[in-house]
Amino acid sequence: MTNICFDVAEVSVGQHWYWQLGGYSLHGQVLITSWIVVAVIGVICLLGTQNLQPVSGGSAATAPKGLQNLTEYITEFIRDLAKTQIGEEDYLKWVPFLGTIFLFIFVSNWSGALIPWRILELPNGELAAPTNDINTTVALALLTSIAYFYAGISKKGLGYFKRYISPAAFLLPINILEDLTKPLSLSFRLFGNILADELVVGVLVSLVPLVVPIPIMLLGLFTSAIQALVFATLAGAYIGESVEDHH
Amino acid sequence: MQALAQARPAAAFTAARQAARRPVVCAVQAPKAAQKLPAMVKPAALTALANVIASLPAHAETGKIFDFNLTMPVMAGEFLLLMVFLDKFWFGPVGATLDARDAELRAKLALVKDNGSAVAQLQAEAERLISEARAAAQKQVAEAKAAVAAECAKELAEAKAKVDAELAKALATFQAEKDAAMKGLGSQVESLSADILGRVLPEGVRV
Repeated sequence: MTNICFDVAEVSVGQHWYWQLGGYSLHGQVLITSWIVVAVIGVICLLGTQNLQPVSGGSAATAPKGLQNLTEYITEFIRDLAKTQIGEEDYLKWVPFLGTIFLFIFVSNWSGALIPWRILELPNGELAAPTNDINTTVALALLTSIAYFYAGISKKGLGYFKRYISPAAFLLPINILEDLTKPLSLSFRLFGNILADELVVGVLVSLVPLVVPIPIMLLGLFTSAIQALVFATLAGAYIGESVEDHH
Repeated sequence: MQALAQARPAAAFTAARQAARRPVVCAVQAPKAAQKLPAMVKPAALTALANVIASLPAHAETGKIFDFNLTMPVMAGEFLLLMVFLDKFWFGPVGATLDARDAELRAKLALVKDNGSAVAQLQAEAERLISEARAAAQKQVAEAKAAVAAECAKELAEAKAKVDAELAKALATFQAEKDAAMKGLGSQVESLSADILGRVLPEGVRV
């Protein structure tokens, strides 16, 4: 019995299930788990937006019920986040981006923590949260960078580049460096949190499989939710910074 | 690879053992020891290297945590597709619902809130209408009452007249009968008094 426990509890770091496409390799395990995450989000979306009703049969607006309540709550939460970070005028068009960031990261992290992926055995490597792979987090961070550049340039045109020499011209190298460190910090913060949590839980489970890993798992659920929020908030903050007028 | 790795330490070990034996033998031949030292280095190094190679896991490739490949653009593409999908099916419709409900509630609130004066006006209007209606109703009631009273009075007068007429007739009849009776009474009284006198008074006396 202990043998099976220890077999299941084995940790493999940095092992990937390589797929080849064209001349390039892919991390198959990341793609599989990301498809499952997208499927979960899609199912919640479709179930929660059937038969939307702001008004009931009479003329009274009704409180939403069931899954529609959840989808409305999440929409309101993201709208509030966007409004706080970006400001009153432009926030609505960034709600889908921030919402997708939040939902994708949140569902990825929690799926990695809650679903027993080890039941499915892969030829090499193991299934885990898609955000424990550097490719995913860097992709999200680069998309955020592109997003805030796009926001700034579409609002201010080439005047956007004035911010590199504001408030003073000697800050130009620091401002340029900031544009490199923003995606770096975003990606590494998320990647480090998720991978480290998985490793700690994996190591604990391989030592004492039964009750001891549970507090760390709960902490992991909490911190991974916070990481989703932090990523979305920072993305919003960077976009807000790009579109704001001069103080 | 594993067999080779195992063969190497064995070979290296025997070579090392032989090399280790050599210093004992060469201790006697002191001048030759200096020459043998470089010869010992090579097998010792070989041993060390062989041990290091043998300690690596035989089947795993080196683990790569920072392994960038096509996965990155694929994930970016997946994310963008998910974003378009959610915008069309989640944030769009649900946002519209939220806005619709919000607008409706605001409209209702506005309707209720800033019509205080209109409400007072409506109230005054309502009271006026009520008093008018009340007056009209009272007038109608009074009219109806008057009509009914007049009719009653008329009927009463008619009945009274009828009754009076009958009464007068009856009285007249009574009076006529009384007179007739009186007259008859007079003649009866005379006859009766003559009779009484005739009985009372002795015979032969006249009144």
